[in-house]
Amino acid sequence: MVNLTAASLPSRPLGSLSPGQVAYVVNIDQGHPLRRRLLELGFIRGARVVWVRQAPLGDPVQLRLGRTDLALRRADLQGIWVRPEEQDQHQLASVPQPEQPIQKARL
Amino acid sequence: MTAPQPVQPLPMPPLNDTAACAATVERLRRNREPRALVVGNPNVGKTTLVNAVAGTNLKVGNWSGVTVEKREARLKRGEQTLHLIDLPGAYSLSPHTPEELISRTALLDEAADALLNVLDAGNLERNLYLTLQLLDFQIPLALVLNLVDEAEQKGVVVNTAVLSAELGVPVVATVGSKSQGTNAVLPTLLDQAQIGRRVEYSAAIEYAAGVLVAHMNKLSTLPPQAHRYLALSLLESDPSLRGRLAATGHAALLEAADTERDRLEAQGIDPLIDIAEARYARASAIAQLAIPDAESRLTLTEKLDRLALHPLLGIPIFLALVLLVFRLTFSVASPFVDLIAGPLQEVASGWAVGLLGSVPLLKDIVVGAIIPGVGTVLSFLPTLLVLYLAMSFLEDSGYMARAAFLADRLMRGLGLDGRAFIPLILGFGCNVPAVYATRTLERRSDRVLVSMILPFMSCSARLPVYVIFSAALFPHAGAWVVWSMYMLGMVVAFVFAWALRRTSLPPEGSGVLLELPPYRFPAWAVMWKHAFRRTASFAKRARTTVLATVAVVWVLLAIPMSSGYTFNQVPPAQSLFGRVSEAISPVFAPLGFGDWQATGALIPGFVAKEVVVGTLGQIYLQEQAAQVTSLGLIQGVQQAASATWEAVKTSVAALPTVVALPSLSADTTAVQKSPLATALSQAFTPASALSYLVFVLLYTPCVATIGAIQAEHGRRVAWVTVAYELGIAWVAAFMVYQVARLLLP
Repeated sequence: MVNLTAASLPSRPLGSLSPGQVAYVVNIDQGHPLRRRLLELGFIRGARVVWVRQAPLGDPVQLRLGRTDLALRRADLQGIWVRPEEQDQHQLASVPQPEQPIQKARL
Repeated sequence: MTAPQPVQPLPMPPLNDTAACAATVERLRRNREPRALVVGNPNVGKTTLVNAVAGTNLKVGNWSGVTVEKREARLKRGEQTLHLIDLPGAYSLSPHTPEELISRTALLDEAADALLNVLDAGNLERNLYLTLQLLDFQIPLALVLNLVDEAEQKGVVVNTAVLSAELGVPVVATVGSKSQGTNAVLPTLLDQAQIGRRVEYSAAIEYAAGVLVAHMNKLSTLPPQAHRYLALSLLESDPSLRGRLAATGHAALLEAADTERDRLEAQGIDPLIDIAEARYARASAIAQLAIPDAESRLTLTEKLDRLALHPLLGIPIFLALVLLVFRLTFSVASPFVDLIAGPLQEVASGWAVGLLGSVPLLKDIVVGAIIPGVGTVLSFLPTLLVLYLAMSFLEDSGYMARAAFLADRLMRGLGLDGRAFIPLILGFGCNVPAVYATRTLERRSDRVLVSMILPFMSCSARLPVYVIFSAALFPHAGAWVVWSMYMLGMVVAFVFAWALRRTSLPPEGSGVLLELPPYRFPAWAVMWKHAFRRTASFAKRARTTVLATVAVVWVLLAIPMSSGYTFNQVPPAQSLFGRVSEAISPVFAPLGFGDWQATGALIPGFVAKEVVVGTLGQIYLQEQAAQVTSLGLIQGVQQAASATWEAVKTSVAALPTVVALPSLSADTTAVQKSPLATALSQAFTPASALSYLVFVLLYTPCVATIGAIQAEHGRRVAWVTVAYELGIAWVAAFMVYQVARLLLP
């Protein structure tokens, strides 16, 4: 579960990911209101989290941790620190991603 | 077992005093029948499994938090009786919710002889976290690996032999909803449950736990089988456990725990993280051994979620489903409601007249109070049954969790999470099941808040009042009047909730976490049972209140207040009811309807909102209660049977129209020319009619709803709600009347 290649990248708040992105948990702040609960659900160091989608109204966010789908509010994503997986690494089959980066046509 | 290597020399008793534990269990076994606790994560099918094993009829749903209290099933095996106690779902034993607290308390206090841990095979790793916590208890354990069919669809096949060997406890694979493998559960639990292999934490944690266990061994006040669990929880600094120990005179133990924690923290160890990581490392290792080749498949759930949670389509789909539920309730249930309120009551009354004709007073009580009272309770049942069936389908299928996900943003401003949206939506159908649906909310303050604002959601019983008034006074804008009543109800609910949040019910806690379970196709039999049980429970709880209120109104109408009339032979105006209405009516003068007739019709509306229109008719048209003709047995049966057949036909014929587009103005033209509409158009002005409608919308929940609120949150909340709402209704109707008087001709 632990991804070592990402270890050199700086950690970011979980809220800064974008749809389909995969990241590994680094730390949860001491004062986080859901810290205990998140640890028990498996948000431990090195756990793999997929940002699946946001709700149509922008909040909350659907995350996949292992085989569990969870929804967290953006406010609660602050204080959860992750290292994103590098772009060219294997992508999760179950999360839709464009085959190639979409390029805007310039006229 | 030996203690882990001590960092400094200290006299240490063995960590796992299995002999002492066995002795305790033995002692308890001699004195009573064995008890086993059923423990597991939320939504893994504990209740379904208990039902399958025990043949009982406990409620289930694909929704976390269906079991909100512990429930017991008694099983016979030969001479032996086993008590199977179904506990609410818990992700862990450090409680975050009232349900988890119930589970933890049961583990500490029940001195169970065995534990049955139910796991979701498709989500093994996370479910094992709780299992590993349970292994810290010195209580024999057996595992049930449930939902194996669903896991296989996801490409997960768990090797139960490996799982059993790794944990040192027996494992049974089952599909609870299809009763597969459930026969093996009981024998395994009774004959093979074992104290399994516990997690080895880091040496520093084990040492600190050992010190605390030693402390507890000297006390003999805490159950020995829980010592290790308690020690670890104290190191994790579980606040609710500390509270409980402090209250029971264990200050010295808490001090010892603080010392150990300080020592660990001085070494740079955060026990909470250390313990969680050790458990997950173990869970992950076991899962990898037990699931050798997990494939990742694009599951049905993911495909459905792409549609159900689509950025553009998600909300329209949600609204369409809600609409479908209502149309189903209206068109399928209403023929049966009419059947009960009309022909069946006529038949019952006819029989009563035939049997009791010689005793006029008794006859009048039966026909005037008892039959309508029972009829009122019964007439709720078809609506509730259909609504509950639809709700069960949405719950059991997993869609309710998606609805909460979609609506969460809307509820945030009120300090509620998305789950609160569901009871509010249900309130438009009928407030009664909506009150019961607040149980799915985690925090008590949320449940009370939602129950208190629910009656502002305009339930279907209020619609006929809007329709007749619109027809009488707003023939060209009927649909708008009806629509604006619904909107006003919602606006008032939100404003009231906002005010409550800032005064008496501040939001508790913070942080919102929803689980989105995989979609499941609900088992029909389970849904039926579920819906029947809830409906029956309504009939049982509400009948006394409704009957009593109907009886009181009848007696008030029967007591004459001027000479020349005798008991039960009096026009409404001369009855005590008329006088009471007249006495109250000046209160409503500023709202534009200060006569006793309009006031009088509001009183029975307290019983059930659909009665308001009937009472208006009785009062304004001086309709005598229809003369009841005596019916013979055969005649009555024939009449009831043909009316029932008509209702079935109407209901079935209505099914296809459920998907048609809704129309608000459907009924208005039909009632426009009715005599009541004509009478109302003379008695009311447009302004006073609007004010009356606003009052009817807001003034009080019906007795059935009050009964439900009382059952859920106690008498105080119920009557506070009634008082608040009467006040709000008065103020709102006053404002509407004063404004409308200036604007409308």
